[in-house]
Amino acid sequence: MPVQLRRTLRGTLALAAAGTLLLAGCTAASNSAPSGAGASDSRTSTLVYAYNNEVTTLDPARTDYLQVDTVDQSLYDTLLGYEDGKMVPRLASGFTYSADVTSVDVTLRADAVFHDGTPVTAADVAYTFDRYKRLGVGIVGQIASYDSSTVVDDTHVTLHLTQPDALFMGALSRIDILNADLVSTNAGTDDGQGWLLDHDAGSGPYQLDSATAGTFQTTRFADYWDFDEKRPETLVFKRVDEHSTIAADLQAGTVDVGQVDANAQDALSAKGLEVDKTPGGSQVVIYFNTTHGTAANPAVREALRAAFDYPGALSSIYSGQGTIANGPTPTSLSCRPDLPTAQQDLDKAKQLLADAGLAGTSLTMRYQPVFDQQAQAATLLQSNLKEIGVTLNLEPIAFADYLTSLGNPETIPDIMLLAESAAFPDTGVMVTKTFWSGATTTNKAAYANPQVDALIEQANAEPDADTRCGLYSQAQELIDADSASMPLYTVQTLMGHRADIGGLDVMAAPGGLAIRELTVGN
Amino acid sequence: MTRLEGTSLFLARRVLGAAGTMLALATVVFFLLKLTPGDEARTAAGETATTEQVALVRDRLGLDEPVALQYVRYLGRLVTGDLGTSSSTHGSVGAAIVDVLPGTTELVIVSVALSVLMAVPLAALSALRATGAGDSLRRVLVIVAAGLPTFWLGLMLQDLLSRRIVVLPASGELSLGYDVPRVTGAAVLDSLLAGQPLAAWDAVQHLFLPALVLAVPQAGVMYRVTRSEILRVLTRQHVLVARAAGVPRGRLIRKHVLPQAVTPLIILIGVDFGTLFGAAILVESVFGRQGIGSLLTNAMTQKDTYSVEGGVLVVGLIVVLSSLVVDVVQALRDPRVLAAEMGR
Repeated sequence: MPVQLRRTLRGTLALAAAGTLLLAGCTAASNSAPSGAGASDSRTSTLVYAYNNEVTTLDPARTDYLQVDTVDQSLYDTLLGYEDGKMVPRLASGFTYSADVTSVDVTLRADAVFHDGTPVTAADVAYTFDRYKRLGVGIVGQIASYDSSTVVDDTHVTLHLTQPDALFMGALSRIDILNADLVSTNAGTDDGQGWLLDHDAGSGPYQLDSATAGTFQTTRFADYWDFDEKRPETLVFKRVDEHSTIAADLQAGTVDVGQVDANAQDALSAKGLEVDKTPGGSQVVIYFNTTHGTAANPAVREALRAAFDYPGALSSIYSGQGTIANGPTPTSLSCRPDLPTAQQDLDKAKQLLADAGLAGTSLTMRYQPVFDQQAQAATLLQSNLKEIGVTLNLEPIAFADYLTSLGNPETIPDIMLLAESAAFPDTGVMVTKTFWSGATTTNKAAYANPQVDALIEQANAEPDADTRCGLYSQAQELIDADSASMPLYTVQTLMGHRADIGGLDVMAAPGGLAIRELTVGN
Repeated sequence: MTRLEGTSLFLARRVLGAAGTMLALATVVFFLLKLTPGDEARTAAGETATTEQVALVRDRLGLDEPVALQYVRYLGRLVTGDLGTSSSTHGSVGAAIVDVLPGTTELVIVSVALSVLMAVPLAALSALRATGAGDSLRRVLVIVAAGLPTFWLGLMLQDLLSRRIVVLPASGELSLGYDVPRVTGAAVLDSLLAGQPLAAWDAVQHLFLPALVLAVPQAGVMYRVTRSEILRVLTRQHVLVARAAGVPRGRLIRKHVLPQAVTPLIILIGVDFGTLFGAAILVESVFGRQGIGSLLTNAMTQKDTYSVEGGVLVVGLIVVLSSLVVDVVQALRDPRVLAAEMGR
């Protein structure tokens, strides 16, 4: 090699090496907080929460999307909430149904204020409900029976329903109350949707500082009626889609709470971090089209339920983080009948199909390949069925397309694998949305059983909680006997977190972590 | 025809061609989206929406109009620069793209620069030592590097450099604690504009790893193309004459070989620049960065037609513009290009 070129190369390499060392040195310095004294205190009083997937808007009308609710539950408050499965007051200090369950009288607490200092009044409640009804999208699906409001005075409002709806009260735990004046002022031509995309009109424990490129920075609201100084002063929502990246961020100290995989536990523990399961849980379930197609035959449904390796799937796919299903609704809910845990019985499955003249048949199941664990479960079922001579063809489907298919019983997939959770901790909401024949756009099994319908309708008009509970349990027994669905397991997610963070056992209304209740410095 | 006329004709043809390409792209994307299954109104209304609510949304979004009418309205909006309103966020599609595009642009520019910095010196060295086991090994390693899956490479480097040896940040664009006003949306540039050099350095560190991951496969391709071209130019008469005249090796490479050999590299950079905007999504996902790729992916899953159309058009425009720039640069470097245009 010519001497000149050798020198040039050596020089270049030396420069590159020096640059790398400089990079490393400066990185070690700058990765810590930029300020000196008090920096560790400010870092402890800050909590960075890593969330997955896009937060499309901060408009509470769209808290039907989990990601939107993840942020909004901290910015806004609802009339009531849930603690350990029981309704508790929030903005409402009291709430009662009318005898015929067609209206709810709400009494507001006097000390609740919005982030701009104005009090939360009955007019704000009325405006909120009317706005969601006008928009007709998103969370309004949970209060479909809402008709109108009567503002009695600043702290009293009556919410009128179009029909008896005992689930309406529980749905109030998902309705974020808006600052009517603020939203009206900025309503524009789209009822404030564009403005609320990245603005805050709430009264929740945190107020929005900035919303930029998927990162939402919020500050603890000093005048919150349930102020707790153990809540972090600053709560930051940072988007990180990959669990392995979250684990790396946790270890680097740039994220404080986030979902991780089981294989990251040891590495996190070695760094003094902790890993806990989220409260509640979502249910992984297979729905059958009970009125059209191959699964309309009860023998096919029962055979599939007997073919799956439940414990093997829970252990290998979910690392044991969950419980095997024993009924149509997640095991984390109450008001459930005492049904046997799902079990594999390949001989029974084979016999059922043979008796029905369907030995060696071919079936098709739809699933969402974007969820890796669901794809694995689908493959496992395929393998289980192969053992009894049944061919299961797996066809991917996008969720948007699946939603479209629910509009017509003939287009609902014969067999569909997905995960779901209750909108709030009431068994009735899942049973009604999924198995009531009148729920034409959400009845995933095209299921219609007059006895079940009667029980659901009776329960939804029943003001007494215990009586409703019994009716929902009876309905679930019938649904299970019909094999309308094939619940697999209720799963929990693992959250890696800084050791001083508490409140990870408090559940949000739609399940999962109640981020607003996280505390620091424990 | 004068040179000025020739140049004007050259530019006019290129610009008209670009406009035609954009119109074709807009049309293809619009009708492809209409053909894909799924009901946009159903998705926009929400999972628990009733039939009546879905119908209301369909009417509000104009989805019950004939497809031809929807297409005409769509083109009319595009002419005025209006990319429409997102059905999932109800915000301006244009604003959403402006929010994320600078981040991806910054990533792609740095990635292309890194590719060139890695590929050209290595290609020159390899061409000068074009025989022997060393060269064979270099070429094999480059081929392997060029074939590495971006997603896997990102996770591996992140695990090594952000978790095991904590040298670089694992995700994001800027560390917590830096308060940089958003001007352009590109973290490094905004930090410099705000007069915060430490924040700028922090942003560079966040950018380095994802840019490197994107750059490695591209550098492999650039290396092979540049090496082949250098070898070809080395055999040209003017180079042989220069060598015979005793021109020093370094000067020979810099002044007589590289300027001739980079033509295919310039074309490759132009092509890469556009395609990297799409390829960036995997890297953005691994390193927790917002970008045009993730916006497009989310829009597709939500069947948010206007957002998909807007995103594809913007990426298409970038590809078209980068091709245009390459053509202009080629014309400036090589008079024969313009002469051919004038001769048409």
